[in-house]
Amino acid sequence: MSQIVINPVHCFYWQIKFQDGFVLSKFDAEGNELNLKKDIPAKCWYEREGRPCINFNMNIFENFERAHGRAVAAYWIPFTNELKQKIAIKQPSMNIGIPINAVPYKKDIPSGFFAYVQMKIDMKIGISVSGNPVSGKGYVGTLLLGYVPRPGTESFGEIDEISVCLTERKP
Amino acid sequence: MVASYAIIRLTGAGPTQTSVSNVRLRTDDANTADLTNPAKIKGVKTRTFWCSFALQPNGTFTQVQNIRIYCDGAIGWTMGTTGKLKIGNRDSGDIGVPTGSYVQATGTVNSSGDDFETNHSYFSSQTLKSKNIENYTSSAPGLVDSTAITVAGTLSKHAVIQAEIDTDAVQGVQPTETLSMLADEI
Repeated sequence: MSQIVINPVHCFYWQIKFQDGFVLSKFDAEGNELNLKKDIPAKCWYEREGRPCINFNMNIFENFERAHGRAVAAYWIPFTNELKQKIAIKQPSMNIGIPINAVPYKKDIPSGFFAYVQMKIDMKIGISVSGNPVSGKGYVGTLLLGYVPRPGTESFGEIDEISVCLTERKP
Repeated sequence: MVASYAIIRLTGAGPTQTSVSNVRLRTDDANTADLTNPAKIKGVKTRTFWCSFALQPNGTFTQVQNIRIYCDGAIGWTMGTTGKLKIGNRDSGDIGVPTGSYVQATGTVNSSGDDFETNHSYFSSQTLKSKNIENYTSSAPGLVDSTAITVAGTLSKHAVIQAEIDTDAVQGVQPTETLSMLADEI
């Protein structure tokens, strides 16, 4: 039986800019991908039903802030063809879409808040009681971008949900 | 690499975990995409064997969580007056079943599956044991697994679905329907 592997289409990647100008990027200019997991402070993890889980009410970028000052802006940056080609050498299976005329989404992070980025993956699965097998597809349907109050404040954060709509190009 | 995803169907007593190309509802517990042992229309309501499937993130990611399921609000199969595609429900918490609480689908092969509402121990004790999957749409998806996956290859909790076919169902090849699964990833 053939296997289904859903490689969601990614059109944007996130970046965080810090006070001293340092930019933390999910992908660097050479197409290398950041593995954020090892840089998330231990105190940002808790256990739920036996599994480690990130507490998004904690500052997962704290280790970077210690070196570069507080996070001042968060971005979702559209992939370019040039970066796509570099990533393709390192990660041939990664599915990147180039959005037309897209611009970066930016959220300034006020002092007293920390950055929040996440994405929602939308996957389609065929289901039948008869008929032909179908394949699965997926794409990053929503980009989450915003800021969360640092512990000890009574402020509310702000998180934008940016919908990504993909239309397949007709051959 | 970023996360890729596999749909894993659970069958047999083990259970056997198989990455599938689609989810086929049949009157047996086989993970086979052919037309043997199809759903039946009889003088009494019948069911397919219930079907358990989970999401498995692979590749490199920091965390995947909040796995949800929904459809377009209309399963276009001619399953008769009370026929429906139903999904296992819990009175509180996630509707997905932890792998350790998996129950193999039972029934009479090539005839009818047993109702998971009475034969699946994870649902049989609930007040509302199932929901019509049409109730779960993009604006109100069903929460299959709210826990986090941080290790590639980990199986999420699994959804349990089953088709019920009423006596006045219309026979014939049914169109493929699409279920959507959502996951939060960083």
